[in-house]
Amino acid sequence: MRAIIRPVILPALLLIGGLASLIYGVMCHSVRLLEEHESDTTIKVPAEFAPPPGGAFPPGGAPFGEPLPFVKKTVKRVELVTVMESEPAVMRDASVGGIEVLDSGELKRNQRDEGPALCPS
Amino acid sequence: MVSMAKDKSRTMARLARGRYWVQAGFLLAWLDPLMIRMHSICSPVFHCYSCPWATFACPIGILANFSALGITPFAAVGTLVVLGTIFGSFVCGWACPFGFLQDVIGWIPTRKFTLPAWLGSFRYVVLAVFVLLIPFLWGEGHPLFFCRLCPAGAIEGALPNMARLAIAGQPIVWPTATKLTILVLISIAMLFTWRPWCTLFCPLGAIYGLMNHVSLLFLRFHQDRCRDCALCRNLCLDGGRPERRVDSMRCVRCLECSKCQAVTVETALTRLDAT
Repeated sequence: MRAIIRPVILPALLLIGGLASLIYGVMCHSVRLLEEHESDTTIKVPAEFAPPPGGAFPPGGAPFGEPLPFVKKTVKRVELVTVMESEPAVMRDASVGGIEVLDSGELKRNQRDEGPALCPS
Repeated sequence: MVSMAKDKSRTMARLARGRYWVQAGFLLAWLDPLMIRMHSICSPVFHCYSCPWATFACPIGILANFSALGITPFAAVGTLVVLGTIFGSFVCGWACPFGFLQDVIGWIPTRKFTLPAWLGSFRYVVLAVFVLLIPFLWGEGHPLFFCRLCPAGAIEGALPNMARLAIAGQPIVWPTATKLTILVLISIAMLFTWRPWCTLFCPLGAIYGLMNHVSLLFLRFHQDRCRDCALCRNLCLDGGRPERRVDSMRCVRCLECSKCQAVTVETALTRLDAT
């Protein structure tokens, strides 16, 4: 029994363990990343103040106290969203320093599919 | 029986002579001939994936970067364990592009020195400290993060990138002085000793060397065929002593010693037969 441990059982266990690790890494293992997402959002902002025609205020002065009308405006909004990324994708991004560790310990993707010019070293 | 051993020995000798062609063939595969960057796949060899011509990701780069991010690299570990269990350090001797570069520079006829075998243990220090521990504790920004020191990264990633920036007329981004110094020292050492990087520092070679003890393919020294002619010892590029320990952790399985009929390549099945 002892005679077959090194030649057979140990390599077989390593092979099975290695294959299991490889398959798990490629197919099942995912990593939680924060990613910046840019989206268009509509907000309400006060309309620009327009002086009355002729530039003359009515008797009694400027109409203070009356609320300015609001208008809708579309702006770009950047927010951090959590994504689950597969290990092969993390492998690719980590190769160019594309993932950083935040002070909170969370991982944040800061670039994607960039070339070797961004090599961290 | 004796003629069979001789035939096997001749086959091994022919195989050993073709090693450089095999290395050149693998080099073509690693150098992204189809211009498809598959950096989400881990290669089994030491080839910087910052290289503009790298097809796959470097396993040591993945271990270091994942350690810095605090993630377990299951796919990379699985790749190394599977290939190491099957081939052991055949990968180093026959497929590694950085090993091939050292072999090619080693052809320059200068006097070669043999490094003491115990120095090979330093590879495990490199693996444990520079690839795993420092990135894990201080992240990839630390000056001793492995990729910031790696000479393969300097040759394959940093220098082509500098050339590209210079050609484009953009400001050149220099690698660290430490990295350049290591590159120069290793390059000089390649002239005077065989595969200095593999022998002294390579963390990937450390992993494969460890698996030489259990790999399904292995080298065997047949005492009954030995004539004490010292041929195997003289053929060993690494200055090893195959008659004492043919498949050491430092061996890259170049098969030079198998030109002697006392050394053969065996599989786990023959190991089982012998027990």
